[in-house]
Amino acid sequence: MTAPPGSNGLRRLLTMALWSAVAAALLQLHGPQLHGIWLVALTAPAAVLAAWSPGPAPRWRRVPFTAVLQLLLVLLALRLSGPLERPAALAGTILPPLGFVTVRRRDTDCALASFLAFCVLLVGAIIHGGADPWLIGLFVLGSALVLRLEARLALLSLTVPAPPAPLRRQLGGGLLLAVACGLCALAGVRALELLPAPSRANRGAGDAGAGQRRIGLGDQFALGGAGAPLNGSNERLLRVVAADHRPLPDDMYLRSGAFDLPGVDVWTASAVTLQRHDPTDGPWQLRTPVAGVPLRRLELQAFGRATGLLPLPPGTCTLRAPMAIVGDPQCEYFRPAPGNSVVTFAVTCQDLQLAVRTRTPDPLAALTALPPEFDRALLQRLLRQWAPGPLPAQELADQITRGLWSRCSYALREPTGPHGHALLDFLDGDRTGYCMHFAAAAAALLRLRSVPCRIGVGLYGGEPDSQQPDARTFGTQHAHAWVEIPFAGCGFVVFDPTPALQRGAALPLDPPEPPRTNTDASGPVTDRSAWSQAGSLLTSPWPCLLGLLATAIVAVRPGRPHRRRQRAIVPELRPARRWLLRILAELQQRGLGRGPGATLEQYQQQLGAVAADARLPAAFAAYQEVRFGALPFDGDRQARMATALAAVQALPRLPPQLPA
Amino acid sequence: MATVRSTIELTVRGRVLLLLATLATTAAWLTGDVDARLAAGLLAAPLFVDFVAKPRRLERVRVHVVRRRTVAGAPFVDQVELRNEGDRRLLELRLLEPRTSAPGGGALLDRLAKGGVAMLPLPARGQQRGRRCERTFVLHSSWPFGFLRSRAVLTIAAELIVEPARVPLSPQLLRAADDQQTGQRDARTLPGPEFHSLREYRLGDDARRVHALRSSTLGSLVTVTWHGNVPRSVGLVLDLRRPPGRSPRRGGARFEWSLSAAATLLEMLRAQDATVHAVLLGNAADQLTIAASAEEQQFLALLAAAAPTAHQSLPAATWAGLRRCEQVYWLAAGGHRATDALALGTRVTLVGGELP
Repeated sequence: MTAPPGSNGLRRLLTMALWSAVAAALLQLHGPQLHGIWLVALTAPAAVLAAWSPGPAPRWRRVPFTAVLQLLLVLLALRLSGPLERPAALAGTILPPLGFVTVRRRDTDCALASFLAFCVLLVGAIIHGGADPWLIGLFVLGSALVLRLEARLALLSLTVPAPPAPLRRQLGGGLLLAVACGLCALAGVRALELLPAPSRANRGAGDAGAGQRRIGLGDQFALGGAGAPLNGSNERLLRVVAADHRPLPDDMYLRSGAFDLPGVDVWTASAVTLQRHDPTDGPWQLRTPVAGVPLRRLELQAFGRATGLLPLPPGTCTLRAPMAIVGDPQCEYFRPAPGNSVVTFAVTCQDLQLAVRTRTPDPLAALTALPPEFDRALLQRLLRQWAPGPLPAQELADQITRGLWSRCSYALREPTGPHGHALLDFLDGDRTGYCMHFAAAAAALLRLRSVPCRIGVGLYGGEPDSQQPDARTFGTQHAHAWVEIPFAGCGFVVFDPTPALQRGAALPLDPPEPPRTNTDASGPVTDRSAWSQAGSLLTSPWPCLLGLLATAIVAVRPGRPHRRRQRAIVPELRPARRWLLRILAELQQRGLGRGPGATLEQYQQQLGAVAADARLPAAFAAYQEVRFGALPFDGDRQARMATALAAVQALPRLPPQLPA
Repeated sequence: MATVRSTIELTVRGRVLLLLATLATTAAWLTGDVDARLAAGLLAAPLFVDFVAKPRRLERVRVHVVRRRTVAGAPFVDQVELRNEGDRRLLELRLLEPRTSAPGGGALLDRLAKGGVAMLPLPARGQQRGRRCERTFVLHSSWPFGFLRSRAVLTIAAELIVEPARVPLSPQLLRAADDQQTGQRDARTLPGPEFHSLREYRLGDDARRVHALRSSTLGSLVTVTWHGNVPRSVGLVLDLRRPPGRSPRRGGARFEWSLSAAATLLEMLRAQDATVHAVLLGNAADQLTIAASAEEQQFLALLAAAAPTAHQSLPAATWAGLRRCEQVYWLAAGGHRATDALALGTRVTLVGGELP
């Protein structure tokens, strides 16, 4: 493609944008499954092949050189990082063409490279169980700029002469479009949740397919286990309504079970002492509310299989249900009484995560035990690395969380490795896993430092309810596992080691907050609720869909024609136009006015006998030469206009009609 | 009154992207998978932005261009005035005239503000001889991403005369007139006209005859008068009639060449100040005495609009004017045999053929 003049800046900008989009895609793909050495091995040879400028050497010599380079790099990657797993190998097949077209950048290579980068980004998101929003933002920014600048360059190459391409304006416009693309992508992803997907329809208990996300909520918490009651996906389980009409947090936990007896890969629940509570007894007072912490009133409505589970938010103070309930308030375990099922119930609860920051965990010896078959050496090594020295329980939990986030990555698949145990493979194998592995690892590490804890399971996050603004809906897709630490007077408080982005809701990927005192806890919580409410409202599916539709309607609305008549007045034309207007005015005064819409040529014909004098056509011609011929209004043309004006002024005044 | 047609259409890359976005959306619908939703959102976003930001209602752009006279095959640049009467600004407008613009060519206007006016130089080339009273321009914009193209076809009243292309003629053609010269002969050996005198420029004179050096010296336009050994009065007959029974589809190349030869011959004769009595034999015999530039332009315009006609006999009075000419050039453009030329009784040179 021949470069149009003045397009070098655009080309440089295009190159930078393309590289940023490709880099974002490669960073998304980079991870434990596909290390950096593999990325280099799969992209570098093709890039070298594309960058090899044609010289006197024949082209076929590049191929063996590139093949040898590819072979050496693959051997190096095999030695340093080991073989690739199947999904990573599949992703690796896209990388050579991506490297080739990114470096070559000929004709439509940039658009093709953007598309390949998109494929790489998507595969990376699939492999790692989610996409990094910052990387997606960088990719959208880069690829939108690539599309814009490539379209501009293609247009410039078609038209000769090409107009100048002001770089700053192109960059500013491209960035605006990139931001618009990002917002539209976000709105589109959210709006697509409204599609009545066949797979999201309510299913029966036996519909769950094998291989879907599993959360053990039965009698045991089994890593890699099957047959748990929440198997399946996208089945609606629960609706939580804020009876106090305050917005519900989007990081809400609902516990349906807990496990405190550890194993290497299986945690089980100890025996509970069940008490029975009938509706006639009034609300069941489970705990005295903690002073200074806001008390929430919630109404919960269960659907399907959740009618037999009775999930409650941690920090529940009172429970009121229209049927008999059995439960153990010490363990915070509750179920409908045998023969009953619960549909609606109400609770009062407190969010105690901030309130317990300065407290010491309840020293329950039963919650610090570890099985003897645990590889304590590995766990101790990790603890020394992440949290050297004695630390308060909350700070230790935060350090363990940071360590897990840096060492392990989230993926919805079982970890693999040399140990043969899911937990050890998660920590020392391929270091991938999901919330159950994060929770089990964190609980084991906490217990190793004698911090009492257990694993809680249930639902997390939920989605804003499409029918009720003060409500959130939970389904099986929101199943989650976390760690709970007991505090005297507060009960079991949630501590979640799973990366925030992968907890089932689109939460920001922030590290754990530093400890706060009770005195400053209430203010930020209130502010966050307001922002959270606005954010959740704007990013919920219906506003997104309505926003997209409104934008499209505004874009295609029939507008009114612009009424303001603006003449083509270029500076060179102004004196010629002034002379012409004077001539026309003189003709008008003499009854020889121009008809509406008549061009100068038509007017000249209308004038007939007057125009037969060559001075008037010469003046008209001078004006047309300046207007359409881009010739200067020089002395000669001005003289012609002046002569014509004098000739017209010498004409007698006629009746107001044109001569026949 | 201008007529317009306006559409928004998908480009090739737009079709591909729409297909991919549709597939991803279908996958997201069927599976409810988050990654499929992400893919659909990322694929559909640029398409949506392109659709929303696309400059629309290009039909509200008023195009104005002055009448144009050119020669077939000759490049020229039209100054096209574009006035945006729509309610939003237009970006990256590409203007072309399919009849005269090169494939993939046209002119690019970066932006046209709401209510704004711009003059756009449009490179063009008259591809085919003809005379048209209206011109059709295509205005389109692919801004910003090029997945969709907004397009308007604007037809406006503006005359475009594309004269026949000039063709090289055999030098013997003018020498034929020399050989048959009845006037005073001289001893010149070089063919062609010679310089005679200078005179002041008159309105309508051919600009090519302006003597540049003398004009700059005197400060006013001066033209050259040539005097040659060519006849002062020449007849030029262009016979547009087809032979009886010949299909209208045949003889197109010969017809065009004859028109081009007539235009070339006329220019050559006029360059030597000859008065040309031109006759177009078609459905009627259009006769024109060409002694000035305006009449020459008129005849060339007739040539631009000429078309073959069916054969019909012509009255003898048609030849009355030609009989006074010292020399007659006969071009049988339609292919009819020039038997009528025999009735002229004067010197007839058949251009592009031989007399029967």
